[in-house]
Amino acid sequence: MELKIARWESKGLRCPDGIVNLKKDGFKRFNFIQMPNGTGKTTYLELIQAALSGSLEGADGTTIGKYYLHSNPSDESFFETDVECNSEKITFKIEFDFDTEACINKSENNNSKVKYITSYAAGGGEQLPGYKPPRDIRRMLHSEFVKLFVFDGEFARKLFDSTESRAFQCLDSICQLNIFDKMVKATNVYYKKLVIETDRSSAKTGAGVTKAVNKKETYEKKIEELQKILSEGEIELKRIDKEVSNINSEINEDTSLGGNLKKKAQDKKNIVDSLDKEYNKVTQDYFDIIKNPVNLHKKFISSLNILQENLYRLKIPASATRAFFEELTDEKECICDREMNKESKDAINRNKEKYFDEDRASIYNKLKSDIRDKLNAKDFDVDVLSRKTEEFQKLNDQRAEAETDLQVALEELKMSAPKNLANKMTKREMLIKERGEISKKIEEIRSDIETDVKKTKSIKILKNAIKEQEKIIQEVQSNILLGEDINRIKALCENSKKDIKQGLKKSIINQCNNKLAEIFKGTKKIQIEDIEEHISLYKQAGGSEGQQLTTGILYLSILLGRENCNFFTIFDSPCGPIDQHVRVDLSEPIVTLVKKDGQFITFVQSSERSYFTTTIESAVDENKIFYLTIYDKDRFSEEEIPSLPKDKTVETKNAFFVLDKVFFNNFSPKINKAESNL
Amino acid sequence: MFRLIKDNRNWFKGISKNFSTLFDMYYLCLMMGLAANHKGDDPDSGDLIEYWPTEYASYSNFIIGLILIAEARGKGINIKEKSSTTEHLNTFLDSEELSRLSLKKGFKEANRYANGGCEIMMQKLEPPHYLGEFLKRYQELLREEVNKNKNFN
Repeated sequence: MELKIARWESKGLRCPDGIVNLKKDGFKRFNFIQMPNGTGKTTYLELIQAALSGSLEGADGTTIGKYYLHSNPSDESFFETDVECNSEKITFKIEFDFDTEACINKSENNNSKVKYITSYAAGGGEQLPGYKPPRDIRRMLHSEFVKLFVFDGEFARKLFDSTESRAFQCLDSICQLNIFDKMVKATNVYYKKLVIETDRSSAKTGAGVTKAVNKKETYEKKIEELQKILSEGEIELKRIDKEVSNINSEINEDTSLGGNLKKKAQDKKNIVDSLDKEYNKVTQDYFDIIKNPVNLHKKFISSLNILQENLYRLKIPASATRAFFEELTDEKECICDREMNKESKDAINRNKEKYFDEDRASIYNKLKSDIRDKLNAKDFDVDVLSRKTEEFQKLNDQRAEAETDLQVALEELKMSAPKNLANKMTKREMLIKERGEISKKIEEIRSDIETDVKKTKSIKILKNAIKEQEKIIQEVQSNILLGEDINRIKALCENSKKDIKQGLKKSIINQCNNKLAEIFKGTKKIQIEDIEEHISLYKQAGGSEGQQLTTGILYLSILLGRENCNFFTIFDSPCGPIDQHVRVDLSEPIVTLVKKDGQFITFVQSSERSYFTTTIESAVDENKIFYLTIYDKDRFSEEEIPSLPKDKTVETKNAFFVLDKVFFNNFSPKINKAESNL
Repeated sequence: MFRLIKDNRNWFKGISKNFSTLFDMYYLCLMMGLAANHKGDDPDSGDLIEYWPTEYASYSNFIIGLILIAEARGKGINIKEKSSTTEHLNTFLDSEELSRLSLKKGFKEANRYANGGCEIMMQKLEPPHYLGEFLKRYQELLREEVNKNKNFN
């Protein structure tokens, strides 16, 4: 893939207004752009990076605001660049909308924004809103990737800095090894969403399973005990019933008892049984009466009557519903024959809120009519509860009395009975008592509604608790398995990345060293020893600064070459801090490194020409070099500037753009101390 | 949703076998709360059902009416005045709900009365063991509470 930059244009930003056209006389292999310090070289570099990578899309206002031009604000601010990707033109434009006040006051609350516009032939040639490069180049324009071909000396130097990990980061970006990091991140997110951020979070360890299993076993044991009580209780009840029945038969058949006493006891027993039956029925009826609230108190009746009467009197709900008025507004005329104009419609729409919708009206109607109808029904008996209470009380008293009579009769019978028969009667009493206790225990289990699983005797509640624990066990086990799978995937990603990186590293070191052997010979010979987080050179801490930069550029170009990328390179201020005598260590190799059909763009200041651009000039055909000098208007006196070639000069709002080799090589304005610190 | 918290349900444990639905307990508590004009906290657990059980369906308008009266009197709403009465009904009732009680106020205040009613019973009655005996004491206590309650005087 070939990528060249054809032009860029900026307006109203912290760099000169105007157009830099690198394709004016066809693409050149070397492009020297000379700009004095403080003219906006770094801004150009950042804006080119931002335009290509879309990195300002969604950036905060303060980041955007730093491009605001304080000295000479403009109504319009934008940066636009054309690149050619395999000869197809792609235009990226960033339109700036500055929060002027915040920019001027350097406020932290800056609401500056940008708008990206993209256009290219395959996209229909239209201006597409947003950062939308063609799909096939998009991954190559990732912000980390763009830094590999649009960079400054600082970036290249970081490749050798042991405190940085740039060298490996570049490898990750170009070879897309960071896809493994993304996979690890994605699995972490998946696990977090599925387990950690859900109520399953407490149940993801082996200890969780043990706890749930123990609880389940406790509940199962409890159910077993309760079921044992039930089944043994049932058997006991049958046994007791049979025994009582046998004793009854024996007592009945025994002729030693007085017939009258026996009959009396039986009669008393029959009365108690009959009253018990009646008691149960009356109690049920009693509850049914209480279930109707108006039976509870006459004041409830009077209050409800007042409520329904008021609802009728106030006409709640009104006979017309909201729907009637909604339909009315659709008519041409109102029901009073007046025209249904906007004013009328508004009034109806405003007032219709006072009326209910049909459903609401229906429940209000039912409320008032139901109360009225039921309270005024002929069969409504206001005294039903007091009568039933009286009946219940009477029955209760009768029952208690009958029970006492029975006990007395039985005692009399026992007293008159021979000893063995009296013993049988005592035994019968004990059996009946025992039966009562067993029945009570069974009833406690069957009717328990205690929901606390630690206290309950309800088998149903315990079974539900077991299901809960089984669910937890299943979740814990699946969580553990999931956790293990996640760890396996992570280890697989990390190891794969490590292995691939080692293989790649070896191959890249070989390629770099072969090329370095061609470039630096004799005493200047340098070789890469290793590339870990940074590049380390063989048997020496560094090479000259020029050699380091050359190695850095070589490293980046080999990485780009692996992806079959012939990309333009922009190198800002390569020789700024480099002594003149080692600059050739950089300039000479660059001539070798830049491909014949490549595009090398460098921003320099006049002091960087010596042994850098001059060396390249002497090694390269003049037609292969583009010269441009850009400087701010009104910054230098006429004496400081060589005479301007008018036909090769473009004057813009705030700068001169001079496209001339001679001017380029003679441009050496004196920069005062204050400016040189800019 | 009608709600009755666990502790309140457990208080009825001695007679719970006589109940055909858990709502029986709720009803007894609710009526006691209305009778005594006593509300407890709005419970956040103990879901029962969101409609009137069959046995209570035909009395539901009476119960709703009593809630409306208690709340209107408690808040000083004049039920002889149309707009305030209409607003009161609109607040407590909702035609979308199966019970016709609105979620925000209708259910909420009913549940608070039920909670409060159970508090009264716990204070003034022994935990029940026999339904008949309990019902007799229940209706006596309820009458006493209504007689003291200004909402129904």
